[in-house]
Amino acid sequence: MSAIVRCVATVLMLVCFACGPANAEPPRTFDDASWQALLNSHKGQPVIVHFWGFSCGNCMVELAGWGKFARENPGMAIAFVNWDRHGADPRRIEKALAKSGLGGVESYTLANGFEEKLRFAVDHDWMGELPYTRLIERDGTAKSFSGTADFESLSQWLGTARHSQR
Amino acid sequence: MRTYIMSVALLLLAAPVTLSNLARAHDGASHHHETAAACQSSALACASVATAAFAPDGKLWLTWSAGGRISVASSTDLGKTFSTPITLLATKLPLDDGPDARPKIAFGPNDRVALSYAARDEKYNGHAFLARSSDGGKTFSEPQPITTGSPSQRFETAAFDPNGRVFAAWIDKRNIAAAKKAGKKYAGAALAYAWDDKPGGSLDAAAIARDNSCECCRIAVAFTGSGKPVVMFRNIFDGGIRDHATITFSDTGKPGPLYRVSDDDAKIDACPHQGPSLAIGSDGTYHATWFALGRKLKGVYYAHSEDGGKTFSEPMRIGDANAQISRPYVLAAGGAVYLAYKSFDGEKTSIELMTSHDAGRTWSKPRTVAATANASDHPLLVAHQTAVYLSWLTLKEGYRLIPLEPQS
Repeated sequence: MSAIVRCVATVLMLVCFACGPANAEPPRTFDDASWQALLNSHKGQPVIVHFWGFSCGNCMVELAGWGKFARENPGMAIAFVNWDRHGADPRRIEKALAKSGLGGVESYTLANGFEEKLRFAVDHDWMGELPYTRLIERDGTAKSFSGTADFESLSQWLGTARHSQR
Repeated sequence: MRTYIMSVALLLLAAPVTLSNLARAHDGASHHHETAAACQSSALACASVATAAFAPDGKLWLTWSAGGRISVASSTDLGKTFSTPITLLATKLPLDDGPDARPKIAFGPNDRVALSYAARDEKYNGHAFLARSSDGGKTFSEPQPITTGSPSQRFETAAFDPNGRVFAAWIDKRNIAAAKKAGKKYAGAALAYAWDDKPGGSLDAAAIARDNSCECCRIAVAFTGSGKPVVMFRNIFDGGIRDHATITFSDTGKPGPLYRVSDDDAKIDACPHQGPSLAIGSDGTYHATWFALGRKLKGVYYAHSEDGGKTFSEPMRIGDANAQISRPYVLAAGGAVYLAYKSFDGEKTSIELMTSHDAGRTWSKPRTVAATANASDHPLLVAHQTAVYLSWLTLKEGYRLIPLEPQS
């Protein structure tokens, strides 16, 4: 019977993944421990971390582009961190991501508190501008870019990073 | 068995919500969240931003945003104690809590006071208000929208010219809405302004000083010796370059030509969330400081202009290159220029101060005037006559007004 239960559960989870805004992955709180935990959880594989905000018009315009990029690159490690101060409504985050085809994506929302310290841990040179994207290779080598993404370049980076030696 | 499967399925469907709730419950146990949870009141102790100004009689006034309300209070002992605050009526929408948003207070002649602030909707469209006092801040009028016919106004600044007329400037989205309707593209937002119809009167209809400004950064307003407003803001130049510019208004109150402050070459479709600061010395020198996010310049810079903003000196990089430098603020008083900024070393934020005695040509070495090891508001500089102070709100230490001495 447990096999049946597992089967039903799997089907339900798959349905859940595809069923749109209401069932998108709720954002986790991005606090002091989150950055290192995020890096550790993807250790050994390239990862893209995209920081965005409702406070940033360009971020909202390009979210759909990120959704398309995610669809074109299944299996890649990617996380979205909402960096609006004082914490955006988690339901709005879920809804916005799901609407852009990013339902179920690994997602975070900035914790209340020492924003400068959280930001410094991500990158010393990040001044809080949005959108902002951090690209981390298998060996932990990282680079960032500010502003909207050039998805063609990003695909190239991902291709190279995926095929690099472990 | 069907019931069993349904139960498992329901449990699985409920799991993300439960985990999320657990995560939030855990978050709620942290120091910051406890502070936030305990701090739902409109008291200064719960504020995240506070802006100071001196009244002509030397009384310090502070306005802050806390518990979803704007409050204002005065102090006769340089910020050690404050009068019972006046708290304005709640706005229908939440107050603008963006990184560069804050309420502001300005004093004019004849006991006139202007208090400006903004609420915002979910898309960060702002709705700016102006509350006035004509009895030196004892009472305030019902706040009035700063303009009509605009879907968004943010980073409002209201100040008095020497005749006692309010000049208000802000970032406005009316022309984006119009462009959208016409099916045209429109980069950024616009710099809008309005004047009082007469001293002690009310704001005339708004006008656009410049289309295509950056939409997410504070603007800076200063007055020339003859009382003409000067606005510094992040403009969008041809090719989508988000570099800083000034506009000096004419004697008739109309915007003059736009002059570029610096060629940062900031070709970027991003919200820096960090606007500039501008001061004008008694000798007429413009002092400008800003955060550059360009291909040529990146970081915090200072430059001055001796010809009314037409040309600026070579930008000078501010701060320790190994630290994160942000939120610069400049003030000119008593023949000196003061420049304060945040310097974060990964653990603590220091406020560094530099001073100049030759109108910005040379500067003292920076020195630390305050520090905190937790969240903090932007550092602001305020002056009463020749006495200059750092006004700074920090989560750990609360509000502080720190006297500053210029260094030789």
